Amino acid sequence: MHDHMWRDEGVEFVRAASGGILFGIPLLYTMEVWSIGATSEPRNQLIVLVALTVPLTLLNRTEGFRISNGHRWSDAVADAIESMAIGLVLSAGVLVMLREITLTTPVHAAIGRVVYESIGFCLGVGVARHLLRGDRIADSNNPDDGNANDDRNIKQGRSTKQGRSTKQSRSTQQGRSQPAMVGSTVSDLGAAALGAAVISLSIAPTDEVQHIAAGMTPPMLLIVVTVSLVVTYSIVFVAEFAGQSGRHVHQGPLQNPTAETLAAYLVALGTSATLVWTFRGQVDPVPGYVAQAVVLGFPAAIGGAAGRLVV
Amino acid sequence: MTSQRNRAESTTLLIAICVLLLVVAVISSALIGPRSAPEPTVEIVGIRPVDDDYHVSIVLRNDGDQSAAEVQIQADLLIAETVVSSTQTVDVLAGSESVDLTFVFADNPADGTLEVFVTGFAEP
Repeated sequence: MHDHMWRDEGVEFVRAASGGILFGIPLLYTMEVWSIGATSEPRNQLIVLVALTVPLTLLNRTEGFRISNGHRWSDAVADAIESMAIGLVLSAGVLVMLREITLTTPVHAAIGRVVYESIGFCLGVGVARHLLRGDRIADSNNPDDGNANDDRNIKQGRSTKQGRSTKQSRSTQQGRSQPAMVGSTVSDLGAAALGAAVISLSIAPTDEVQHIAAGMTPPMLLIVVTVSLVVTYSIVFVAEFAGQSGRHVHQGPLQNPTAETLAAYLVALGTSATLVWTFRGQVDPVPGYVAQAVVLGFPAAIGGAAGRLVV
Repeated sequence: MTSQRNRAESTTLLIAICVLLLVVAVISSALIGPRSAPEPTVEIVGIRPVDDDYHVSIVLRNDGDQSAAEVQIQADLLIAETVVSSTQTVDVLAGSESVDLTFVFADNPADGTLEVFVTGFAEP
């Protein structure tokens, strides 16, 4: 009972974080927001936080990040507080990872950056349940699917839905031919490439990629790679977005969670490397080129994860 | 329909409140007391030969609490009655923030007189 309680809370936290990252990443690669945040007046930072509570409360009243969110305004306010805190922590974490906040950054400049960058993350947390949710996807594919039901159910109902979905997926997969299973893998990786391109295409030509990559050392790049893998695994296989339970039982090459995550990341990295070359026109010096590909690979991988959820 | 937060959800809410209180406290601390105007200053921290040039490392620091924008820094090297000037611009310098900059000269600054100074800035 206790294990379920903490596990469910962990999953809801991962869903909230995933929604925040999906929504907030494009704003994160915008140099102007770093400057605006760092030079903003403390009074304006407080106003931003207070103003955020309004849309977050409304979003958590209607959508939010909890499967079993309550129907009272007090629940919506509590979830809005959590959404804001998660958004702030996520924003701070990613800014530290990208070295836009370091030990030499003055505290007030760091807080300003975190507050302004967190706007997208917080709103993403607020709509996490709506992002790529199972019922909408399932509705378009199969109206009779258990996932087609409104997911605003109690947790007991959710576990029942998952069990049914898993069972259906397994039986469907067992009946599949080898070409169909290969096609499933190709479809996943194609969706990863498309999602990666959609998200990173608008970021690739900007100076931010070069700026961030220039400040990266090899160990930091390895951290970016690791975080990219963990985040995309969480979005696709932990956050309980659309069709996750079915993904756990897909058969075919690269169709277990770890292999699929690695393969999809390589596809996203390849996409970002191609885009960096497209807009820079050269790969020399190679270390700098690789650094830019890895830096752009972070949003690309997140876009790829979103793309895989849609197929 | 009523809902009651379980212990895990209550713990999450408590942690979230602590995070928000911490952020608000840090921001509020900047609101208390006067905030001094921006004061960009420069300091030469090193000179090193690189190939045929000399790299002069400086630190630009804002000693004020408020931000400065478009901070212009000039370095003048006087050698044999000839002044060689070089300028740089830093877009944004937050209060208490410092950035490392480098000027490049063909002559050795040790053979002449080097001056580095802030020529102007804007208050955003």
